[in-house]
Amino acid sequence: MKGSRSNIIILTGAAVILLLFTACLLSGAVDIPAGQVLKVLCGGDAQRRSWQVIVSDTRIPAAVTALLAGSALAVAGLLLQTVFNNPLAGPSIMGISTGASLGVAVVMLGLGSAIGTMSRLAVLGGAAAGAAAVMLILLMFSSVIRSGTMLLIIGILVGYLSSSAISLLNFFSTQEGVHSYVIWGLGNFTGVTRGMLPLFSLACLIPLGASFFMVKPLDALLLGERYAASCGVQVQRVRTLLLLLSGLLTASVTAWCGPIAFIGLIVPHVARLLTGVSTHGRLMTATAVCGAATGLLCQWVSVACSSRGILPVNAITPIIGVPVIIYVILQRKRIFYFN
Amino acid sequence: MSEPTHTPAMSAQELSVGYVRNGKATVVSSGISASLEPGSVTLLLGANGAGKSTLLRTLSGVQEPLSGAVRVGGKDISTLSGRQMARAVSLVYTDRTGGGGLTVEELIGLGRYPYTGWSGRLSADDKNAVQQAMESVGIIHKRNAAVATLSDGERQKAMIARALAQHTPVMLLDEPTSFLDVATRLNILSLLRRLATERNVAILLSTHDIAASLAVADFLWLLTASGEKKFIHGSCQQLINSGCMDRIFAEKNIVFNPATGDYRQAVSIDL
Repeated sequence: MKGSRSNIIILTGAAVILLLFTACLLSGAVDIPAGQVLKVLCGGDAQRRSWQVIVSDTRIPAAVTALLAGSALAVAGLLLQTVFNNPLAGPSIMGISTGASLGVAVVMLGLGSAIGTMSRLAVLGGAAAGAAAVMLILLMFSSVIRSGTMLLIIGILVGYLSSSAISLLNFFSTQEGVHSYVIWGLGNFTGVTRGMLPLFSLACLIPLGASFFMVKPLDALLLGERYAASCGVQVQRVRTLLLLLSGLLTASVTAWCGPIAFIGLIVPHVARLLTGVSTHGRLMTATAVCGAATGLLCQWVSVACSSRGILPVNAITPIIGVPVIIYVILQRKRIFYFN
Repeated sequence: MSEPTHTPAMSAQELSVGYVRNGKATVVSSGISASLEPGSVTLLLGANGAGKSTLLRTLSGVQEPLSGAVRVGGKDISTLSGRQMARAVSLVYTDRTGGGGLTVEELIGLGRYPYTGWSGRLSADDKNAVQQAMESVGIIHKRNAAVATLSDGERQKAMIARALAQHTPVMLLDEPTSFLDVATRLNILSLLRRLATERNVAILLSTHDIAASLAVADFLWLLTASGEKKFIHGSCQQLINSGCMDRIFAEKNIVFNPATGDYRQAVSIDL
């Protein structure tokens, strides 16, 4: 009964993804006929060289990036919400994306003048290092602190520390540095070049795939750590693995796309509300599908709504995310999965 | 007390329980040697802070004993893997859990955790065990209901069914009837009695609901407060007759009334 409902949602989601993916390929500052886009998509050559380049080097990578990033962030959010048994946990709250931001800030603001022209790889390295640092701190604490809530608070505190370090770096750096950092911080799905796309895809798909192997302990964790342990879950080890996975997912996306807010927080709720299931086998699939659709929706809105270029993703995610969060909070009593 | 000719379901040997903090051990209770027999209900009684929960945590392997050993089916639990332990001992706590969005059937299915593969998919045998557990506790009519919509009593029944589906020789329950009304409490207690007999499970439950629990219990484990802290065990009748029940509480004027199975405050002549 519930199973068939979630199957319908997942299938509908897949259809929506296809639709939005097409929409993303068709819209942009330059009007390209649908037939020409299809031709490029099928490996042919477009009428004009510029169309060819726009579709294959800009639109396809951006759409794929949006799809994967949305999925990755949403699944990361789901893992964190279950690990911390907290509906408000998410990649941006745990300090992981703030850590990545700090890494990027160090590269762009601290070393910016030394590097000269900003190297894409340096930024990626900075983000990965920052995210890894916060993850390590969290993992270290997670071996000492048993309570998930306390660990969540530590994550938030680490996030604050990173933010303050970022502010300090901003304060002491050049205007150009600050400008490029602010642009990065707005988030966008267009930063992954065609050449980078395979690497980015792997960085998202490997931890995404691995997350699906964790559905069993995740289900047990719904009952709390004590019951999970009594079922035979190695709680410490599972928690470490889940933190590692969500950290990897967040770090990959943040490194390439900037700190994307809200997707990781809201999509798991949307998936739960739509499907009505709590067991992770179905829920994770639904979350990944809804995340991909949300990423594509944001990408489509950001290119379709402006003739002057691309709107930053973080200007769009709250418009979609905040109403959902408010709905979830207001309906708290009536939404089963909270209790 | 029936003489066990077989291996007991669980036994504690010279067990000493407590905490180690900063390298210093705090003994909460010691000298615990006793066993749980299949098909019997044993009550773990003691005042607040006597160490009931600590003892239960140690018996369930969550906490390491300061000294001594816990054996399940003859095997020291410190040598068992998490999966083996979960096939030997199941637990029911009093606190409300998350997972309100699960259906009752899914919740009870989690009891099959130590038997399922990586995906947690239930086999026909697993589904059978879940079905039987639901029938045994009488929650089958709620199988598709979300856990969050259950009453406290129904929820506790579901948690007992989850433990039952785990198919363990030993079931430990930490104050399973607190927060329940009288009717529900009696209902749960008689359910436990019936499960012990029908499923041949050794049940140990800690409780403050002494009068009602005594009616369904075979044996008592007492953590005493008066005099030196001591662990006493034996059959209900034996311990009641020997006056051991008065030693649970430190207050001298709180005395056990064998007629009602309850405690009352003795009228002091000095007042």
